[in-house]
Amino acid sequence: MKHPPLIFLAMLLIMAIGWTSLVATPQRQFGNQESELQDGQLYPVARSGLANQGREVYRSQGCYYCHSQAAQGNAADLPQFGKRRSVAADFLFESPAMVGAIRVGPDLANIGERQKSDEWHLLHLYKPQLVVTGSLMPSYPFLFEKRKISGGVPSAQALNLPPSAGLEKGFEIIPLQEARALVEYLKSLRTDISLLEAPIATPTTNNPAAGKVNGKATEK
Amino acid sequence: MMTQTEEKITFASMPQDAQIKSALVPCMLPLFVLGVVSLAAGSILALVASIKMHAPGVLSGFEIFSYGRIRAAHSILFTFGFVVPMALCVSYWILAHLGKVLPAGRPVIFLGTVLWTLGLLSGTAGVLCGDLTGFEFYELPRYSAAIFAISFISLSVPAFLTLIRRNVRELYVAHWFILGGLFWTAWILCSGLVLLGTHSLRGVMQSLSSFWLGNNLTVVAAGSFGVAALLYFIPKQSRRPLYSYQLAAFGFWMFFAFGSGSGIPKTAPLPSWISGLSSVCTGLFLLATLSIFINLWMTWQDSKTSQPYTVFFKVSAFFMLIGSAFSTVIALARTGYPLDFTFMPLAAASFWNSGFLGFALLGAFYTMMNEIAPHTGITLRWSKWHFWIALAGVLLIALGHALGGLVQSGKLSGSGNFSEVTRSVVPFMGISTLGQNLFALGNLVLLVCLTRLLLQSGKRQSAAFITWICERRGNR
Repeated sequence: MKHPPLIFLAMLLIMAIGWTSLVATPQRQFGNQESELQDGQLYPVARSGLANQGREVYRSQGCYYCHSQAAQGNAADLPQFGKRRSVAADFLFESPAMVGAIRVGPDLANIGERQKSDEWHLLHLYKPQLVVTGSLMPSYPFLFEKRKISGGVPSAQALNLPPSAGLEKGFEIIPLQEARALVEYLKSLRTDISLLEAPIATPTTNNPAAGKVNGKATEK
Repeated sequence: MMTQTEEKITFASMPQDAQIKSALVPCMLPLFVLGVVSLAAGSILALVASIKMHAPGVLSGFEIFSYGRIRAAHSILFTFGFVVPMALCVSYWILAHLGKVLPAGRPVIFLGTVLWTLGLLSGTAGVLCGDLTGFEFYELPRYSAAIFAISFISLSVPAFLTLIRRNVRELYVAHWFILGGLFWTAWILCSGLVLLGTHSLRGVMQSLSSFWLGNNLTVVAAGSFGVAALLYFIPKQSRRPLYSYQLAAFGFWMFFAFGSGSGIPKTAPLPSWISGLSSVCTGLFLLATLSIFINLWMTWQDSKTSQPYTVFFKVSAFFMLIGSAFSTVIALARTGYPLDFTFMPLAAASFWNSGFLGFALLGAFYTMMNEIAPHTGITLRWSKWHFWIALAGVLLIALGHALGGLVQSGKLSGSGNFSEVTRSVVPFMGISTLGQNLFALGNLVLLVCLTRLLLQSGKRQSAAFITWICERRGNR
């Protein structure tokens, strides 16, 4: 421990070992994964154009600071947040892959399956408390345009707001392209295809590791 | 073998302490200003983010202040604005003093500081305008990552040169950690640029790399600078040698060997061997922090002398151990609802970042400023206020998150409804917000302290300049 070059070389070795085990080896294991036929469908597939734009809105608003996209194979998550646990294959075409680490809001791995209505999503983005009582999610009014109703007839695209929204008479709220794209992205988040490494599961107990498929414990 | 005359000549040619200090001031002052301003700005953003956790309507009409963006901006300001610049100051100080040598490449350090500030401004502005990366563990836009990588080279090369040119050839324990920190930071900044900046990885490999990079940056690289500060200042201020060289060597190798593998959440959609390996590393990393803590504890425990800033370092050492213990519990506990998803990791991060790194670097800042400008007495007065306010702040932040996380995990392990459970932890978020208030207030105290120091120093410099002009005129 008296010679800086030796310390430097030893540290280089440690860094190389850490990098090889936790970056290079996983890259060899599943870095070249491809889509496969699952239940007769090719999975995963790249998102459509509008959903791709929505992913950019999700990224730029930092939604992943509150929402994960990683359903676990345990009783706490299934079926509340998904039909099966999330796996690496679900993110194959994601760039960036916004897995999320902390859940201030619910997991979104299967939100497209849980909530299919465009209107619900748009209202939720405009003012979450309108659809989820006491929600702690902030509203995103800048994804919408407030404008005067022209000709006395509201636009077909306008949000159908309840009186509790407190919108002034003669005005309407129109979702911008960003809001529509974000909704499309959220609707595209689904884990409803059974995979070999993560079959559609039905939890049978409250046990932590209780993700079970047909009575058999799922592999984690 | 040196003769006595040669030794005397060598010793006489070494720069004196006062010379070293006056040579360090121009290198360190811009980095100090950057660090203190970033810390104050970052803690205000953290406060706003914390308020939004229980009052979502606050500033919700402003896109620039959306929760995700201010969290990202806070993370950049804290890590790249406060921790790295302050850590570099500590490195220059320790390397120059232990080596009895003037700091090398001072103009290069200044250039590096300017570039680093540019990287920080572009990164913070970028994320506030929506250019987030998608990786909360390593949130750094590509352009600022490139600027940081280049500027870190110009900031670290002078540190290496100072080490090489040292007059006292002995290599101390603090040297090891500084060497490790410099090397690790450079590696992480460069590999982050290659792995995430070039989009060369696909899918979940990007997330895995971001976990690995983020953990290595905050825990290993920044942590090693923090440990270096503790290992240098505690023995110096206690006026005792470090308790055990062997224990320090053990702690050093354990710190880097297992720290680099820790930090990958077990909830990530990755093969289980990866999170399993990482959990084991996190557990073994606790041994590293424990051995460092024991070494420091044994060093200071019987010391009769103590300086006013030693308390910063002692508290920092405690927070290092607690932060590491929290991370181990999160990684190894088998609960029905994983602790990783709760507020518990935020408690561990508060202990490590604001507690351990914050107090170690702040203690070093006050010590260095007091040695540079002892006549003012400003740091002595203000540091007491700062210490108590920041300590209460960090404890409340961590307490709120830890209790909230435990309640979340307990209720969601059963059949709790997610939204109801989240609402039930709002009071705990209130505790954290109170802590954020105090921590931000403490950092504003620091900002005021630095401003007063600079103003006084400016007045003295101006007075000296005016006297010099008058004398010249008188001579004529």
